Amino acid sequence: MKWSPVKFNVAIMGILAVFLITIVANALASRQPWVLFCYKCKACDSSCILGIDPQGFVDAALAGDPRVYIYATNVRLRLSKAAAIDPNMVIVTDGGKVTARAALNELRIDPATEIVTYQVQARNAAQFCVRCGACERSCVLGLPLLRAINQLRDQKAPEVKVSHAQ
Amino acid sequence: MLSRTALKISFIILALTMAAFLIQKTLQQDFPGNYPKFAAPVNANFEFAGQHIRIGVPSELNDLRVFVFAYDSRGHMQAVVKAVEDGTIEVSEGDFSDIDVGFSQGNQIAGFEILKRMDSYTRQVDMAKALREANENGRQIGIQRCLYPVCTRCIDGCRSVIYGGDLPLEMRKSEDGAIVPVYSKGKCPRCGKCFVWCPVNVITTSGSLVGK
Repeated sequence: MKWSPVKFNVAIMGILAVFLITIVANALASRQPWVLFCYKCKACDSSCILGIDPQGFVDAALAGDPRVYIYATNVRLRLSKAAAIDPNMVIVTDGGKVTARAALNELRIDPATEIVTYQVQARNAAQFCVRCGACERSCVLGLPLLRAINQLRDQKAPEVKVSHAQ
Repeated sequence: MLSRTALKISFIILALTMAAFLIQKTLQQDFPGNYPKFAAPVNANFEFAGQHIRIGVPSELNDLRVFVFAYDSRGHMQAVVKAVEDGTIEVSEGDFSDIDVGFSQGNQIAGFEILKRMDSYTRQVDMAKALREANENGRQIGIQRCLYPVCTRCIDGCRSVIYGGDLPLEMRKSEDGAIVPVYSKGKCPRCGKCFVWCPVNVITTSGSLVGK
Protein backbone atom coordinates (compact mmCIF):
# COMPACT_ATOMS: atom_id res chain seq x y z
CA MET A 1 0.00 0.00 0.00
CA LYS A 2 1.36 3.37 -1.00
CA TRP A 3 0.69 6.22 1.43
CA SER A 4 -0.14 9.60 -0.01
CA PRO A 5 1.31 12.71 1.68
CA VAL A 6 -2.18 13.60 2.90
CA LYS A 7 -2.64 10.26 4.65
CA PHE A 8 0.81 10.60 6.16
CA ASN A 9 -0.06 14.08 7.46
CA VAL A 10 -3.35 12.81 8.89
CA ALA A 11 -1.52 9.97 10.69
CA ILE A 12 1.05 12.39 12.16
CA MET A 13 -1.71 14.79 13.26
CA GLY A 14 -3.56 11.82 14.81
CA ILE A 15 -0.48 10.88 16.84
CA LEU A 16 -0.04 14.49 17.95
CA ALA A 17 -3.72 14.69 18.91
CA VAL A 18 -3.39 11.52 21.04
CA PHE A 19 -0.30 12.99 22.73
CA LEU A 20 -2.09 16.27 23.48
CA ILE A 21 -5.19 14.44 24.73
CA THR A 22 -2.92 12.41 27.08
CA ILE A 23 -1.51 15.65 28.50
CA VAL A 24 -5.02 17.08 29.02
CA ALA A 25 -6.21 13.79 30.54
CA ASN A 26 -3.23 13.71 32.95
CA ALA A 27 -3.87 17.31 34.00
CA LEU A 28 -7.53 16.51 34.64
CA ALA A 29 -6.69 13.24 36.41
CA SER A 30 -4.25 15.05 38.73
CA ARG A 31 -7.08 17.55 39.48
CA GLN A 32 -4.90 20.48 38.41
CA PRO A 33 -6.33 21.48 34.99
CA TRP A 34 -4.88 25.00 35.30
CA VAL A 35 -1.39 23.56 34.60
CA LEU A 36 -2.40 23.43 30.93
CA PHE A 37 -2.19 27.22 30.82
CA CYS A 38 1.44 27.43 32.01
CA TYR A 39 3.63 28.39 29.08
CA LYS A 40 6.98 28.07 30.90
CA CYS A 41 7.89 31.73 30.87
CA LYS A 42 10.38 31.13 33.75
CA ALA A 43 9.12 34.16 35.69
CA CYS A 44 8.68 32.02 38.82
CA ASP A 45 12.00 30.18 38.95
CA SER A 46 14.07 33.08 40.28
CA SER A 47 11.58 33.85 43.06
CA CYS A 48 12.12 30.75 45.21
CA ILE A 49 14.46 31.17 48.16
CA LEU A 50 15.06 27.39 48.15
CA GLY A 51 15.98 27.39 44.47
CA ILE A 52 13.01 25.17 43.61
CA ASP A 53 11.87 25.44 39.99
CA PRO A 54 8.07 25.75 40.42
CA GLN A 55 7.55 24.65 36.81
CA GLY A 56 8.58 21.20 38.02
CA PHE A 57 5.32 21.01 40.00
CA VAL A 58 3.48 21.88 36.79
CA ASP A 59 5.41 19.15 34.93
CA ALA A 60 4.58 16.62 37.67
CA ALA A 61 0.88 17.43 37.30
CA LEU A 62 1.09 17.24 33.49
CA ALA A 63 2.85 13.90 33.71
CA GLY A 64 0.54 12.68 36.47
CA ASP A 65 3.65 11.49 38.32
CA PRO A 66 4.90 12.97 41.63
CA ARG A 67 8.29 11.24 41.15
CA VAL A 68 9.39 13.58 38.35
CA TYR A 69 12.82 15.03 39.20
CA ILE A 70 12.85 18.81 39.42
CA TYR A 71 15.46 21.43 40.28
CA ALA A 72 15.81 22.38 43.94
CA THR A 73 19.20 24.04 44.13
CA ASN A 74 19.23 25.61 47.58
CA VAL A 75 17.78 23.12 50.08
CA ARG A 76 20.29 22.45 52.86
CA LEU A 77 19.96 19.24 54.86
CA ARG A 78 22.11 16.49 56.32
CA LEU A 79 23.39 13.84 53.92
CA SER A 80 21.91 11.01 56.03
CA LYS A 81 18.49 12.64 55.81
CA ALA A 82 18.81 13.29 52.06
CA ALA A 83 19.69 9.62 51.47
CA ALA A 84 16.80 8.48 53.67
CA ILE A 85 14.34 10.64 51.74
CA ASP A 86 15.59 9.56 48.31
CA PRO A 87 18.98 7.86 47.67
CA ASN A 88 18.81 8.93 44.01
CA MET A 89 18.41 12.62 44.88
CA VAL A 90 21.15 14.67 43.16
CA ILE A 91 23.21 16.75 45.56
CA VAL A 92 26.11 19.16 45.21
CA THR A 93 29.44 18.22 46.78
CA ASP A 94 32.98 19.49 46.34
CA GLY A 95 33.43 16.87 43.64
CA GLY A 96 30.42 18.00 41.63
CA LYS A 97 26.88 16.68 41.37
CA VAL A 98 26.30 13.13 42.61
CA THR A 99 23.43 11.11 44.03
CA ALA A 100 23.02 10.93 47.79
CA ARG A 101 23.71 7.17 47.64
CA ALA A 102 27.00 7.71 45.77
CA ALA A 103 28.04 10.44 48.21
CA LEU A 104 27.60 7.99 51.09
CA ASN A 105 28.90 4.77 49.54
CA GLU A 106 31.49 5.85 46.98
CA LEU A 107 32.73 9.26 48.13
CA ARG A 108 32.40 8.22 51.83
CA ILE A 109 31.17 11.63 52.92
CA ASP A 110 30.23 11.88 56.61
CA PRO A 111 26.44 11.34 56.89
CA ALA A 112 26.21 14.27 59.32
CA THR A 113 27.58 16.69 56.71
CA GLU A 114 25.19 19.35 55.54
CA ILE A 115 24.69 19.18 51.77
CA VAL A 116 22.84 21.28 49.23
CA THR A 117 20.37 19.56 46.91
CA TYR A 118 20.30 19.95 43.13
CA GLN A 119 17.54 17.72 41.73
CA VAL A 120 14.84 16.06 43.82
CA GLN A 121 11.52 14.35 43.18
CA ALA A 122 8.58 16.77 42.91
CA ARG A 123 6.88 15.20 45.95
CA ASN A 124 10.06 15.74 48.04
CA ALA A 125 10.47 19.30 46.75
CA ALA A 126 6.91 19.91 47.92
CA GLN A 127 7.93 18.71 51.39
CA PHE A 128 10.93 21.07 51.45
CA CYS A 129 8.86 24.00 50.13
CA VAL A 130 8.12 26.62 52.80
CA ARG A 131 4.87 27.56 50.99
CA CYS A 132 5.69 31.26 51.05
CA GLY A 133 3.73 31.83 47.83
CA ALA A 134 6.56 33.77 46.12
CA CYS A 135 6.14 31.62 42.98
CA GLU A 136 2.42 32.38 42.82
CA ARG A 137 3.05 36.11 43.20
CA SER A 138 5.62 36.11 40.39
CA CYS A 139 3.43 34.09 38.00
CA VAL A 140 2.27 36.37 35.20
CA LEU A 141 -0.93 34.32 34.83
CA GLY A 142 -1.54 34.12 38.60
CA LEU A 143 -1.64 30.30 38.44
CA PRO A 144 -2.38 28.65 41.83
CA LEU A 145 0.94 26.81 42.23
CA LEU A 146 0.39 26.29 45.96
CA ARG A 147 -2.51 23.98 45.14
CA ALA A 148 -0.21 21.63 43.25
CA ILE A 149 2.38 21.87 46.05
CA ASN A 150 -0.19 21.06 48.75
CA GLN A 151 -1.45 18.10 46.74
CA LEU A 152 2.11 16.77 46.28
CA ARG A 153 2.80 17.15 50.01
CA ASP A 154 0.10 14.56 50.63
CA GLN A 155 1.95 12.10 48.39
CA LYS A 156 5.03 11.87 50.61
CA ALA A 157 7.25 8.84 49.93
CA PRO A 158 8.27 6.52 52.81
CA GLU A 159 11.86 7.09 53.99
CA VAL A 160 14.45 4.41 53.17
CA LYS A 161 17.52 3.39 55.15
CA VAL A 162 20.84 3.92 53.39
CA SER A 163 24.17 3.72 55.20
CA HIS A 164 27.88 3.23 54.53
CA ALA A 165 27.39 -0.51 55.00
CA GLN A 166 25.04 -0.87 52.04
CA MET B 1 -18.31 21.69 8.40
CA LEU B 2 -14.84 20.95 9.73
CA SER B 3 -14.69 24.25 11.61
CA ARG B 4 -18.03 23.46 13.28
CA THR B 5 -16.67 20.06 14.47
CA ALA B 6 -13.49 21.71 15.73
CA LEU B 7 -15.61 24.27 17.57
CA LYS B 8 -17.64 21.49 19.20
CA ILE B 9 -14.48 19.62 20.29
CA SER B 10 -13.00 22.86 21.70
CA PHE B 11 -16.23 23.51 23.57
CA ILE B 12 -16.23 19.98 25.06
CA ILE B 13 -12.58 20.37 26.19
CA LEU B 14 -13.38 23.76 27.71
CA ALA B 15 -16.44 22.34 29.48
CA LEU B 16 -14.41 19.42 30.88
CA THR B 17 -11.69 21.81 32.10
CA MET B 18 -14.25 24.06 33.77
CA ALA B 19 -15.96 21.06 35.41
CA ALA B 20 -12.64 19.74 36.74
CA PHE B 21 -11.80 23.24 38.01
CA LEU B 22 -15.12 23.58 39.81
CA ILE B 23 -15.01 20.20 41.58
CA GLN B 24 -11.64 20.87 43.18
CA LYS B 25 -11.85 20.72 46.96
CA THR B 26 -9.56 23.64 47.70
CA LEU B 27 -11.69 26.33 46.10
CA GLN B 28 -12.98 27.49 49.44
CA GLN B 29 -11.09 27.91 52.69
CA ASP B 30 -12.54 28.42 56.11
CA PHE B 31 -11.39 31.51 57.93
CA PRO B 32 -12.32 31.20 61.62
CA GLY B 33 -12.64 34.89 62.42
CA ASN B 34 -10.53 35.22 65.56
CA TYR B 35 -7.79 37.65 66.49
CA PRO B 36 -4.24 36.53 65.68
CA LYS B 37 -1.53 35.60 68.17
CA PHE B 38 2.20 36.01 67.49
CA ALA B 39 5.08 33.66 68.32
CA ALA B 40 7.70 34.89 70.77
CA PRO B 41 11.16 35.87 69.44
CA VAL B 42 13.61 32.97 69.14
CA ASN B 43 16.26 32.74 71.86
CA ALA B 44 19.40 31.55 70.11
CA ASN B 45 22.77 30.65 71.61
CA PHE B 46 25.68 31.30 69.23
CA GLU B 47 28.94 29.35 69.68
CA PHE B 48 31.81 30.54 67.49
CA ALA B 49 34.32 27.68 67.14
CA GLY B 50 36.81 27.25 64.30
CA GLN B 51 35.27 27.26 60.85
CA HIS B 52 31.82 26.43 62.17
CA ILE B 53 29.24 28.43 64.08
CA ARG B 54 26.88 26.30 66.12
CA ILE B 55 23.56 27.89 67.04
CA GLY B 56 21.39 26.35 69.74
CA VAL B 57 17.66 26.99 69.35
CA PRO B 58 14.54 25.66 71.12
CA SER B 59 13.69 22.10 70.03
CA GLU B 60 10.18 23.24 69.04
CA LEU B 61 11.83 24.62 65.89
CA ASN B 62 13.10 21.16 64.82
CA ASP B 63 12.56 20.41 61.10
CA LEU B 64 11.54 24.03 60.41
CA ARG B 65 13.47 26.30 58.06
CA VAL B 66 14.47 29.62 59.59
CA PHE B 67 16.58 32.62 58.67
CA VAL B 68 19.99 33.01 60.30
CA PHE B 69 20.76 36.71 59.96
CA ALA B 70 23.57 39.18 60.49
CA TYR B 71 23.67 42.92 59.83
CA ASP B 72 26.46 44.29 57.67
CA SER B 73 28.22 47.65 57.92
CA ARG B 74 25.63 49.27 55.57
CA GLY B 75 22.79 48.32 57.95
CA HIS B 76 21.54 45.65 55.56
CA MET B 77 20.38 42.27 56.82
CA GLN B 78 22.14 39.26 55.30
CA ALA B 79 20.22 36.03 55.86
CA VAL B 80 20.55 32.37 54.97
CA VAL B 81 17.76 29.77 55.13
CA LYS B 82 18.76 26.89 57.40
CA ALA B 83 16.99 23.78 58.62
CA VAL B 84 16.88 23.15 62.38
CA GLU B 85 17.97 19.63 63.30
CA ASP B 86 18.15 18.34 66.88
CA GLY B 87 17.76 21.85 68.23
CA THR B 88 20.86 23.13 66.44
CA ILE B 89 21.81 25.00 63.30
CA GLU B 90 25.33 24.98 61.88
CA VAL B 91 26.74 27.73 59.72
CA SER B 92 30.05 26.96 58.05
CA GLU B 93 32.44 28.86 55.82
CA GLY B 94 31.06 28.61 52.29
CA ASP B 95 27.43 29.07 53.35
CA PHE B 96 26.45 32.13 51.38
CA SER B 97 23.69 34.60 52.19
CA ASP B 98 20.39 33.91 50.38
CA ILE B 99 18.88 37.39 50.75
CA ASP B 100 19.96 40.97 51.32
CA VAL B 101 17.33 43.17 53.02
CA GLY B 102 17.55 46.96 53.02
CA PHE B 103 15.83 49.26 55.52
CA SER B 104 14.68 52.85 55.45
CA GLN B 105 13.77 55.14 58.38
CA GLY B 106 15.35 52.75 60.86
CA ASN B 107 12.94 49.85 61.05
CA GLN B 108 10.92 50.03 57.81
CA ILE B 109 11.77 47.45 55.15
CA ALA B 110 12.78 49.23 51.93
CA GLY B 111 13.37 46.19 49.72
CA PHE B 112 15.22 42.95 49.35
CA GLU B 113 17.19 40.96 46.83
CA ILE B 114 17.39 37.18 46.46
CA LEU B 115 21.09 36.45 45.98
CA LYS B 116 20.78 32.76 45.08
CA ARG B 117 19.52 32.29 41.50
CA MET B 118 19.13 28.62 40.62
CA ASP B 119 22.72 27.50 39.98
CA SER B 120 24.64 30.60 41.02
CA TYR B 121 24.77 33.63 43.31
CA THR B 122 24.36 37.18 42.02
CA ARG B 123 26.68 38.21 44.90
CA GLN B 124 28.47 35.96 47.38
CA VAL B 125 28.33 37.00 51.03
CA ASP B 126 29.88 34.40 53.34
CA MET B 127 27.46 34.05 56.25
CA ALA B 128 30.01 32.62 58.70
CA LYS B 129 32.23 35.65 58.07
CA ALA B 130 29.24 38.03 58.22
CA LEU B 131 28.11 36.55 61.57
CA ARG B 132 31.62 36.81 63.05
CA GLU B 133 32.09 40.40 61.87
CA ALA B 134 28.66 41.46 63.12
CA ASN B 135 29.30 39.81 66.50
CA GLU B 136 32.74 41.44 66.87
CA ASN B 137 31.44 44.88 65.87
CA GLY B 138 28.34 44.81 68.10
CA ARG B 139 25.88 44.54 65.21
CA GLN B 140 22.79 42.39 65.46
CA ILE B 141 22.82 38.65 64.72
CA GLY B 142 20.07 36.13 65.37
CA ILE B 143 17.40 33.74 64.19
CA GLN B 144 14.24 34.84 62.45
CA ARG B 145 11.42 32.33 62.34
CA CYS B 146 9.19 34.50 60.11
CA LEU B 147 10.29 34.27 56.45
CA TYR B 148 9.37 37.87 55.60
CA PRO B 149 10.22 39.53 53.16
CA VAL B 150 10.39 36.35 51.01
CA CYS B 151 7.04 35.19 52.36
CA THR B 152 4.28 37.80 52.47
CA ARG B 153 1.30 35.48 52.92
CA CYS B 154 -0.09 37.29 55.99
CA ILE B 155 0.20 40.71 54.37
CA ASP B 156 -1.37 39.36 51.16
CA GLY B 157 -4.29 37.99 53.20
CA CYS B 158 -4.67 41.27 55.06
CA ARG B 159 -4.52 43.28 51.86
CA SER B 160 -7.25 41.10 50.30
CA VAL B 161 -9.79 42.29 52.87
CA ILE B 162 -8.62 45.81 53.76
CA TYR B 163 -9.15 48.57 51.23
CA GLY B 164 -6.29 51.04 50.95
CA GLY B 165 -2.85 50.93 52.48
CA ASP B 166 -3.72 51.28 56.17
CA LEU B 167 -3.30 47.62 57.14
CA PRO B 168 -3.68 46.32 60.72
CA LEU B 169 -0.65 44.10 60.11
CA GLU B 170 2.77 45.31 59.03
CA MET B 171 6.34 44.12 59.22
CA ARG B 172 9.02 45.96 61.19
CA LYS B 173 12.56 45.37 62.32
CA SER B 174 12.48 44.57 66.04
CA GLU B 175 15.06 45.61 68.62
CA ASP B 176 16.94 42.30 68.27
CA GLY B 177 17.18 42.81 64.49
CA ALA B 178 14.62 40.19 63.42
CA ILE B 179 11.71 41.20 61.20
CA VAL B 180 8.46 40.64 63.09
CA PRO B 181 4.76 41.27 62.44
CA VAL B 182 3.38 44.34 64.21
CA TYR B 183 -0.36 44.35 64.68
CA SER B 184 -2.91 46.99 65.47
CA LYS B 185 -5.90 45.33 67.13
CA GLY B 186 -8.28 48.22 66.57
CA LYS B 187 -8.00 47.97 62.79
CA CYS B 188 -8.18 44.14 62.60
CA PRO B 189 -11.41 42.83 61.05
CA ARG B 190 -10.74 39.31 62.45
CA CYS B 191 -10.84 37.69 59.03
CA GLY B 192 -8.27 35.09 60.16
CA LYS B 193 -6.44 35.03 56.84
CA CYS B 194 -3.07 35.92 58.40
CA PHE B 195 -2.92 32.86 60.65
CA VAL B 196 -4.63 30.46 58.23
CA TRP B 197 -2.12 31.35 55.52
CA CYS B 198 1.04 31.71 57.68
CA PRO B 199 3.14 28.66 56.63
CA VAL B 200 5.55 28.76 59.56
CA ASN B 201 3.10 29.25 62.45
CA VAL B 202 4.56 32.58 63.53
CA ILE B 203 0.99 33.85 63.46
CA THR B 204 -1.57 31.51 65.01
CA THR B 205 -5.12 31.95 66.19
CA SER B 206 -5.68 33.40 69.63
CA GLY B 207 -8.88 31.35 69.71
CA SER B 208 -10.61 34.46 70.95
CA LEU B 209 -13.21 36.75 69.43
CA VAL B 210 -12.20 39.57 71.76
CA GLY B 211 -8.41 39.17 71.76
CA LYS B 212 -6.11 38.21 74.60
